[in-house]
Amino acid sequence: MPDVFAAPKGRQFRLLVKEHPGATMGVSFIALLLLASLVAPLPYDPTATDGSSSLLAPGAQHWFGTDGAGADVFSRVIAAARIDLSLALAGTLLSLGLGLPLGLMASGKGKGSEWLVRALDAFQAFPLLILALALVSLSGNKLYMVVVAIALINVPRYIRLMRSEILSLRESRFIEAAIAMGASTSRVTFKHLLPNVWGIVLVQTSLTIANAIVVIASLSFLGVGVSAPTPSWGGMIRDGAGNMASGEWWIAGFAGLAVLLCVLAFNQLADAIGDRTARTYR
Amino acid sequence: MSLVEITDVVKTFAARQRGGDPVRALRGVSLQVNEGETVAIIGESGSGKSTLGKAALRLIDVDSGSIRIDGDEITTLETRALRAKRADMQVVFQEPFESLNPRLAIGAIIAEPLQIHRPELGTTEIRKQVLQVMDKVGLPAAQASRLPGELSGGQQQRVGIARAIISRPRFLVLDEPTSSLDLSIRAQVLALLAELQEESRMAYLFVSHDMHTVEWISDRIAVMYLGEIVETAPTRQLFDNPGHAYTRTLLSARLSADPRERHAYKAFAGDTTVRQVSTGDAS
Repeated sequence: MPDVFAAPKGRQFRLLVKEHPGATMGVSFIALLLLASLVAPLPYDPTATDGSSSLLAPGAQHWFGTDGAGADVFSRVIAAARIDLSLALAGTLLSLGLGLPLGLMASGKGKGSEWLVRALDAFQAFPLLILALALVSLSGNKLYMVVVAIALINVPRYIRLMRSEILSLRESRFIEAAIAMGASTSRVTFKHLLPNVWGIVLVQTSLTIANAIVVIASLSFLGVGVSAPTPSWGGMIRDGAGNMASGEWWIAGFAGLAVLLCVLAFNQLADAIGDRTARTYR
Repeated sequence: MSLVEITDVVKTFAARQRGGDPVRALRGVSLQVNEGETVAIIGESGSGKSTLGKAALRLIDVDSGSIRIDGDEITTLETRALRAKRADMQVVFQEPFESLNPRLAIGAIIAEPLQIHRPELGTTEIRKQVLQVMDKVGLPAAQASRLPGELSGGQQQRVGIARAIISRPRFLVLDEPTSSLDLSIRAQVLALLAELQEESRMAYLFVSHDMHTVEWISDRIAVMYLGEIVETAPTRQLFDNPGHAYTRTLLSARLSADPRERHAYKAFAGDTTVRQVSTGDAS
């Protein structure tokens, strides 16, 4: 049965824009980047190479300059958003899809959930980036393994987060009140527990995307995951690293800047969401 | 037979720390509450009075003894039957804000017992009844779509009371419902509770440590000390002629060293009373 009375929701978005210019700018930046990479015509074909115009400095012709093979860096930075951001989003969705139900299961009071957390401790003690690296390269550089690797790193975080939030919520008076009024277990879970963890889950999701972008860049920097000629920020940083010494900073520089701005944008968004949930409901 | 019959109830909590002594919160407690009657349980912190209140609603399971509400033995009811029975027995907690889901609108919170126990009523009828109950407890209808955090403490407690009475329970446990409220609001809420009882003949089990409050609201008082009821007497008689030494101690505390009187005395210098009196309920 739908709620007979609903709290007004519309003003939340406007408040977000007003109170968090950083988050608003961040979201706009990501939206613009995604839009540009998916539909906008790029000035040059990002994979076309031209030996006669290699390593040109940024200028009117090539805004971000060209790389060693003569490809336009601006076009490549924008085109890389397509694969890097969609992999990051896919990885985050998989992390959520696995992490939330597992987290809910791990929030029981029984011994089983305690053992699960112990197992997670052991698992997380392992350097997960190395594990991800091994996984992706052993699979023969399959892109879906990058998504799995991101989930591998982030699912334990969701489980831990859900567990700690729900365990403390379970002790709260309004849960006791719900039980006292005769609410069923599923009603308590879906109406009283879960709606009160969405805020913090959203914050974590924003951070997960940021983390995923870095993981993907790290993997492609190391040469696994997205491979040439498909443009990726990590790959561009690797290609441009050699040129840095001889003064051609723009190849790695602009790709690095893209990673930095994306991570910053999602961190700002996480901040803003965290602020809103904290203020409206406490 | 009384509406609420608590007989020989025992509850022991495991020790908090390993090697510590188990806490014997209830050591064979018996108590009856009649229809339309208010029985107060008083006692100091740790005397087991809140535990008794929760046990009476089976919010905790007791180790032994019997608790009958309107003839039903609730200590052995199975989950489904117990849930259905909860429409008849409700609770108002001490912390008004903490006992409301911060993400649900006031109207949705009050509607919940009906949605659970009377889903056949349908949305329109439930809406109507919610607004009626809100009116009864003195909440303006416009607040139905507000969130709990937007209300004052007194209003939040009115929401708690509205939610407790909407399923027309016959038995209400009031677990220090007014102790976190300002004095002026406290009087209003107590008057509201008395009025509701007059109308519906509910049985109240009023858990409190405030002698002034219980003197005003209760018909009978049970004094708890270390998990036992040491004395039960009609309110007037208990105040005029306390039987047990511990009761006398409680009463003397009230007369000579009441914590709020002391507070008020200090406050003349520190100015907190002024604020306490002027912070009125917005309703």
